[in-house]
Amino acid sequence: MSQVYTDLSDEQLIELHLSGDPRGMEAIYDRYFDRIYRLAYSKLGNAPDAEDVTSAVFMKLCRSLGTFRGDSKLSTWIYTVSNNAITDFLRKKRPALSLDADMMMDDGDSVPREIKDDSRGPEELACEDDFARYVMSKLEGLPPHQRTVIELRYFMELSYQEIADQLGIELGTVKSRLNRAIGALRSMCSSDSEVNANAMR
Amino acid sequence: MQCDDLGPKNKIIDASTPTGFSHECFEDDATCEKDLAIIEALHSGIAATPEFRASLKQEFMAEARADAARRAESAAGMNKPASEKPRKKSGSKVRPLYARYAAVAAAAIVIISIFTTNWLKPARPDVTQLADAPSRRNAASIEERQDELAYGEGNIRGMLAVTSDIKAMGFAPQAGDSAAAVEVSLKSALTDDSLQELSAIANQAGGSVALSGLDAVASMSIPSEVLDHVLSNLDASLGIVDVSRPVEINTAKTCITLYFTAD
Repeated sequence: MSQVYTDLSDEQLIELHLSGDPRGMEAIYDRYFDRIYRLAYSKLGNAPDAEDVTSAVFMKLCRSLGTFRGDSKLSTWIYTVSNNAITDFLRKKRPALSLDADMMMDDGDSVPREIKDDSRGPEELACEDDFARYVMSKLEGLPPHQRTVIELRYFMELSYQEIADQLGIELGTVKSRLNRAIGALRSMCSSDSEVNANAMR
Repeated sequence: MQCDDLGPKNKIIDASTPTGFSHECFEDDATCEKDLAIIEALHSGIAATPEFRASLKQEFMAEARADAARRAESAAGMNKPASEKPRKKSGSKVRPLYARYAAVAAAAIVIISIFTTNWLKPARPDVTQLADAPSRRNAASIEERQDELAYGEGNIRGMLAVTSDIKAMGFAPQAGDSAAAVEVSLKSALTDDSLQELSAIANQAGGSVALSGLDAVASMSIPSEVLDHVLSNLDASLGIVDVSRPVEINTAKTCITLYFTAD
């Protein structure tokens, strides 16, 4: 991809696409692929699901970009589309399983269903030197408003002002929420480290 | 990492991650290091496999190129000059405006002509039925039926029905006619005595009698107002078999044709 296209704004790239130049869409793909994938991974927790959602978002993007009216920024529009795709994906994937229902055995007896915990613990993740996945797993412990600013800032790479505009809050509020969110993640990581350290003794 | 010491309680570390994210830290250096590690992990710690990135890009770009081609084609069609736009075929069902006006005018003419023809006017009496009357003896009943029939066109108030054995039946059609026609069949034969009787009746009524030149036929002209009186005298003296008279007489004089019985 030429440097000329990577320097263009989102609006200019959309105009290129609408004028029939496919390089506009290519630049948009390069610009937003990692952002969408990170967002999907942070909420789905595994690569295959994140890939499915990323594919769905880009296909929708390709079909709908012609109708994009420009009322909002492309980045916030993509963020909304991605979140909707993730929600749809979770709704379809989630099995209709009652946790209260007992599991029927072959001999007709029923036994209480045991919920297997597939999530890897912090120790395991840390041992794998997969700090990023470990941090991602901690995002669920954040309050929604703090998680949102994390997503907009570090996944979608919006500026403070763009986040403030998107959420309709003050610039200082954005900064303070980010700091609190990072501090909360730090605390969660530190407490896990202490637990791990105590477990090691 | 850049540190700005703004005071003992507000030490702000404006740090940047390797990928360019800045972070304002209010804690000590170690804490800021942890924060930067977390930020870096959030931003660039997770990445898709190059294979997936490449395959999705190929699929996405194929779709984008197809969409771009559709847009270019659509844009070319929109900018095409009017002269290049496809013309309507000569056999098109869309007719010119004047043809539509002509069709409407023709339909109006047909409708008007239908409503002004005799089809919608009152029916005339059935002449054929009258003509098929079997004999003069039915003439009276035919006249009654004629009276019941509706008279229509031109406000004609009478009808002349001609059959093979009824020479004339009816009355003067218009008020300006000179005399109504009455036919009387008599029991008597045409003799000198009967002629005298006939002359006497005519004279009494203020009329006249004349032979028509045909066998057993005479004619009498009398004032219309005394017709009934004359007919009663004829019946008394010569005997009347049948009388054919108009339903209404609107003339000053009446001409009675007298048919005597053949010898």
